Amino acid sequence: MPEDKNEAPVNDLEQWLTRQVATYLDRKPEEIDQHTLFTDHGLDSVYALTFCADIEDFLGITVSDTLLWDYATIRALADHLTELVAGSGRQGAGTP
Amino acid sequence: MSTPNPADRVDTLERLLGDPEDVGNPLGYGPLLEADEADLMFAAGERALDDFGLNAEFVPSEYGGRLRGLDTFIGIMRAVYRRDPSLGLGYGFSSFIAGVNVWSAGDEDQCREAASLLLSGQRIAAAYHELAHGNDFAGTDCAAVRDASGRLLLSGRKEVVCNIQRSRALVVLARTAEGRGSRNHSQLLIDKAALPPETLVDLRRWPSVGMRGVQLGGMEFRDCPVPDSAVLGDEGQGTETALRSFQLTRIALPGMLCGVLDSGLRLAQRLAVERELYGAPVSALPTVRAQLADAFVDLLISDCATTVAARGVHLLTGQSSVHASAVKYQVSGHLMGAMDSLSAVLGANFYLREGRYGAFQKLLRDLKLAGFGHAARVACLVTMLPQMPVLARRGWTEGPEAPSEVFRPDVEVGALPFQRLSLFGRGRDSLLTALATGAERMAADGAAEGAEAAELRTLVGQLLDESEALRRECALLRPSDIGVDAPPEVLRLPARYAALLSASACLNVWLESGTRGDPALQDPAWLIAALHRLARGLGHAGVDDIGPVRERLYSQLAERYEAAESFDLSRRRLPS
Ligand SMILES: Cc1cc2nc3c(=O)[nH]c(=O)nc-3n(C[C@H](O)[C@H](O)[C@H](O)COP(=O)(O)OP(=O)(O)OC[C@H]3O[C@@H](n4cnc5c(N)ncnc54)[C@H](O)[C@@H]3O)c2cc1C
Repeated sequence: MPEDKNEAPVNDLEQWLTRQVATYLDRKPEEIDQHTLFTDHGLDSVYALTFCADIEDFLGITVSDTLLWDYATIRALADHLTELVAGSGRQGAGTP
Repeated sequence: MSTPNPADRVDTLERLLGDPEDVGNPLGYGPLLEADEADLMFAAGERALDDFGLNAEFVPSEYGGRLRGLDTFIGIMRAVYRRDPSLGLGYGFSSFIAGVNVWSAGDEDQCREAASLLLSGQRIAAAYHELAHGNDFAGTDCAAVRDASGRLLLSGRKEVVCNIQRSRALVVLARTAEGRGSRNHSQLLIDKAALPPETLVDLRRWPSVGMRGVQLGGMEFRDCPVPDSAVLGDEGQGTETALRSFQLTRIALPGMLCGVLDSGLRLAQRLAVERELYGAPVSALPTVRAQLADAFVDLLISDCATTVAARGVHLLTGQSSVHASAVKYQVSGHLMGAMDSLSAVLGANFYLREGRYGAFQKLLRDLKLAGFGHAARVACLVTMLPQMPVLARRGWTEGPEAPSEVFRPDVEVGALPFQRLSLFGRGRDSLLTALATGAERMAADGAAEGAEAAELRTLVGQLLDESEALRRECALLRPSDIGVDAPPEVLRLPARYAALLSASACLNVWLESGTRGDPALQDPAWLIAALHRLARGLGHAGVDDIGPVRERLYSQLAERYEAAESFDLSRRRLPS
């Protein structure tokens, strides 16, 4: 079970991403593992668009349209977004 | 040598094909029906297209071909589809599909290789489909796996693929990693002649109901050693490339298929004026005139929608993902509906496979591909759906303004921006926005007068109400509503959106037609009829009495018929 190897999200951004995924899947955030591939969570490409838009609105940045294919877990995505936000010189709402 | 302009190229092609109804024409309906009956490609037609050098239309000008504007490409191919859709698909469009994927993701060498194959008159098959998976591309099983020495070995089957046997090369979608993710497939450009023949085994041909001459075959790959240089783009990029490229081809297909309805209308009008019943031509019957006029309107809606979507690829950067699925859904519906209705006008003559109207049944059968080929209509709605909530939240009526050239087919656009196709429109849609701005402009310009202006105001009012209602409903969509298992009520939302986009295209093409010379396009009759048809389809009342407008449209149709002009926006003179 993913719960077994679950660990607490390491920062606010990761927490927010986890909550989003949980919302899409109609599950509790505690049940969402940060290292599981989005596709293994059952989040297919359909959600990728919604997720991209939610991320853009939340962080106030523009992301690549293949973001979720290239950073396919919550942890990988959080790391990438943290760099992006730092790089863009903006203080995104979800950054630590 | 400079390339003749697009309109001249269409005229040259039409002249080459000659009058379809001339019994002495070796490229006419008679010989082409014989080929269809024998399940053969129309050989004389293929030779004519060789002479014309149709393949050059599939190759971007930077690689030595004539491909630039997508709407221009559609216009040229429409001339082929007007004659014989099997020729359109089987001579060529499948090579175009393969080509677009190469131009989108291939490197310089791959693009040059594909260009030189096509320019030398050879074919490239687009091998995506597998019997077990249909529209579900993510399921693709055909796999390219590295052996111990690191060589890619391709194995598996592709079936019901156009020209797979007689093509020189293939673009194959193959799995390069396990699982259902979107980075697990790659596209390969394979030169069949360069590979061990025993690893490429042709499978049987599939006979079909329509497009009967098209050679639908299959191929089994048996540990076929594929060089690394065959991979288009990066490994794992195959799905992404397909999703970008298919935006162009999903716009092009319904745009070209407008040619089928164009010919269908001509045959039906021919019967209506030639056949006498109750002491008068069939065209004296008001219901028949109404059916013909409505089919004419369907054609104009279809042409506006696809032309605008095609020009949008060039001029509305990154927005085409929604437009492509929308026109594939919407236009295929108009085209098939209109042809079905015309089949009723033809009566028993549509059921006969030879004689004066014998070509109609073939056109009707060939057109059915519009419903399922290159993405099922419902799959198009499923593709649009996830973008609906984002559109409702961000764009809708506030998208960036569309430049007026989007709605002006007379202005040439530049080269196709293959690298700027985006997988999603980020909630921006200038075409939908243009419904509202077009409405404002119409009110300000006083472009129509009197009763007609009032009718247009009524129609546009209904469509804007619809747009607002739809926005509110889409804003309420939850993530769990927008998956591939969406219920039919939810799929109505993107369907309604598609109709509104078509309405916007019609309105704005009409508004811009004032800058051009065609008085028939400037006459608001067709626009009133088009918006009425779309509004009714959306469950609105439309105008009180569409009768007089229909009669006017029927007269315009009859005029074009007499003058041997096409029924689409181009109103071009056809050989007769
Ligand atoms: C004349 C012809 C030429 C062709 N040429 C080529 C070619 O050159 N290259 C190639 O690769 N293939 C080619 N094909 C194959 C073609 O691509 C497939 O037939 C097409 O992909 C559709 O698959 P399917 O009809 O088997 O539908 P399936 O996907 O098996 O559909 C079955 C049912 O499920 C429904 N459905 C599917 N997806 C969804 C969804 N997302 N939501 C809701 N309902 C859905 C469909 O509407 C349908 O009712 C050709 C086929 C024909 C007939």
